[in-house]
Amino acid sequence: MVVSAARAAALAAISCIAIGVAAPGWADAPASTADQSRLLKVILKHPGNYDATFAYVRASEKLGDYEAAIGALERLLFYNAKLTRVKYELGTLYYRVGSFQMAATYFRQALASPDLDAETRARIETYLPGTEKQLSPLRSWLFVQTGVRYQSNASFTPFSDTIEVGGSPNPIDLSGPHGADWNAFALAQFANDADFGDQGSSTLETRLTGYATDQFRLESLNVGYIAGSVGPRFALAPSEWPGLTVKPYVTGSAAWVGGAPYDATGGGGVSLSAPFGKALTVSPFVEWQKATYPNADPTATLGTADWLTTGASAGLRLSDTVSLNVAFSYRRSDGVNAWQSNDQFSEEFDMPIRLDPPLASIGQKWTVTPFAVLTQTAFDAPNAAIDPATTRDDSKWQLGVALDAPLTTHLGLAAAVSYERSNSNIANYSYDNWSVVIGPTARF
Amino acid sequence: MPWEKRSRLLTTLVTALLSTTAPLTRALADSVGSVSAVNPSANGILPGGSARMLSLGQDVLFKETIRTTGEGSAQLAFLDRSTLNVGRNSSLVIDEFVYNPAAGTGSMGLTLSKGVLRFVGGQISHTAGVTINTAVAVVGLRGGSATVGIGGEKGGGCEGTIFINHIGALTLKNKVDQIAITKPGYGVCVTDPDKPFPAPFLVPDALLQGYLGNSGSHGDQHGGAADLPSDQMTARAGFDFPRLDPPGSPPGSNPFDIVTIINSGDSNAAGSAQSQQGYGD
Repeated sequence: MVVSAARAAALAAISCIAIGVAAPGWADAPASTADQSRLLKVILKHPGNYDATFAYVRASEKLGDYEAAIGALERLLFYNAKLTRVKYELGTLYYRVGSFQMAATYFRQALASPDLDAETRARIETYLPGTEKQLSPLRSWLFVQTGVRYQSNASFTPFSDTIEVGGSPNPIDLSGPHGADWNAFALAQFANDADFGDQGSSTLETRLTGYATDQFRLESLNVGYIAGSVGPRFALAPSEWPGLTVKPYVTGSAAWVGGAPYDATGGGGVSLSAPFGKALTVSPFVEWQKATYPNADPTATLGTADWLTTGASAGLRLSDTVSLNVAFSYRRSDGVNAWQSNDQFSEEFDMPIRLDPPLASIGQKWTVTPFAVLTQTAFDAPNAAIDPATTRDDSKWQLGVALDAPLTTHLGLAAAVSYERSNSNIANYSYDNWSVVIGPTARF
Repeated sequence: MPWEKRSRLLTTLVTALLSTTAPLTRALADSVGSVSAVNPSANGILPGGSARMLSLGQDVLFKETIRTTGEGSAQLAFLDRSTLNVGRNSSLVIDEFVYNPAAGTGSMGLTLSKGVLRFVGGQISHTAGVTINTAVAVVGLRGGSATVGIGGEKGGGCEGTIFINHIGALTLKNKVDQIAITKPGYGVCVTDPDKPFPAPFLVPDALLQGYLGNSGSHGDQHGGAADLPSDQMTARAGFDFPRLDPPGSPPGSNPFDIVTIINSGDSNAAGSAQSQQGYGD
């Protein structure tokens, strides 16, 4: 019941934000449809009517009819081939339709103009490297963040004064370090796409993630984590259904806690990505992994097991600035020990909102992402070391908001605030935790 | 009056009436767009064979042939919002243009016999598609923009006919082969209609610049405009001056991804902490 209420609240909150934020984007578009047709008639009769041409470009852009805007702006270059601002605008339009070579060509032409203003030059210098990267058959990206993190309950200490041990309540031992703590952390994400050179846009995708923390007090909970995946992505119907792709992959990870190995996983899966129009992409997947836990402590929540996970994510573009991502997954964990085997359902909702930064000199948008994460885990059998009469059943939810604020082409700031609450039918596993993360970022 | 005489008179009258009204009716009914830019000299050859100098705002007619000289170029704007730039030393015919504005559907066909064209799509190319005929291949264009050039261009290396996909997808067919170009910026150079198509390649920037220049204005040319647009006008035009999102979803583009990584670490720390607290020791 708690989970249902939390899920309903999260959905309601996300929906309200989505409607509130996306509404202005929707409100602009319908008004332009009739305008565009009316303006086209004017332009056809009087091509030199620049007011009508600019209005037509604006209306077409609002409708997402970027090609109509391109045709009209390229006409202006017929009249005056030195229109630097028009070349910049054409670069942005070709960029938005994914024609990066034409975008780069117009950006370079604008950069070469002696009368280019400083603000437009800064914008082009921000976008041109990423535009040119799209033309390379081998593309790499690196994102790094360091910073500090505060947790109100870094030890995940339960609410209760007593915990279950062997089926009996015992006073919790709070003599050691516990509770709130700070840490310094670093994380990195690396991605590489290597084109196979065919017209189906097939690529070999490599993804790597690393994460490490250094707790200020609770050093036994320092975490290290690396994960990666590699696999080819094939277009299934490049002409008939552009963007429809399938990706088989292998994946693996290893984690350390307190300097000791915690777990290692390895396996593979296959995912499908299916766009429906320009606004919606659905990606189902299925994955198998072998998870190995060297710690045979009978009280450990998880042990060596086979994980079979299936699910789907969907990305819905609500407007030019707002998207809604939803992901559902189910994992069956068949452990060596029945009390560590479980069924887990997870739901994630996040809504990136792209905002213009406060300074005109910043060329990239900032992103604010409210999110909600819900997880329900039902174990197969009671753990005699904890409570032989109760089969553990957990539900956990997390609400928060994250910010990515690029300040230059490569440097920026990122932050996140979240609240997590875990409810379990065994007191040992019910806790809450506030988290605040902030630190500089770098991306290449 | 005998029936045969009456019939001949009626036929003569109807023929005379049709001969005076038909050209007007056809000119109005068969207009497919207008000349939106023109650098001399560019001519139109009407379906009846008469030639005319193209001028700004003039109707473009169904089955009209557009010809440009070594200094001439033009842009045609069509009723379905598509545009066609005709480069220097070019000759093309508008073979087909059927458009239903209410439904936003139709069909369009062009034949390029020499020179360069750059097509930016409208409603028709997003539905049934546009067909471009050349001597070496027939091109189907869906949903986008393309350049076709015959006879090479400075900075090129293609001495045949080049087909470049800018937006959407091109399907090329000749007598023995068919190929799809779905990647923007890629093109194929075709020299022989009886041989399989070569592999598409990423068109070099210099070649692209060449075709852009060919199908636009040179030096003092102004596309027929009397008053020229300026950057000041553009600045006042109220464009959004948008910031662009990074292409695709590179790492770090959604800060929730960072939360997901931190959550993975927390999951391990929580599992370890709950054991360390000695519940079973």
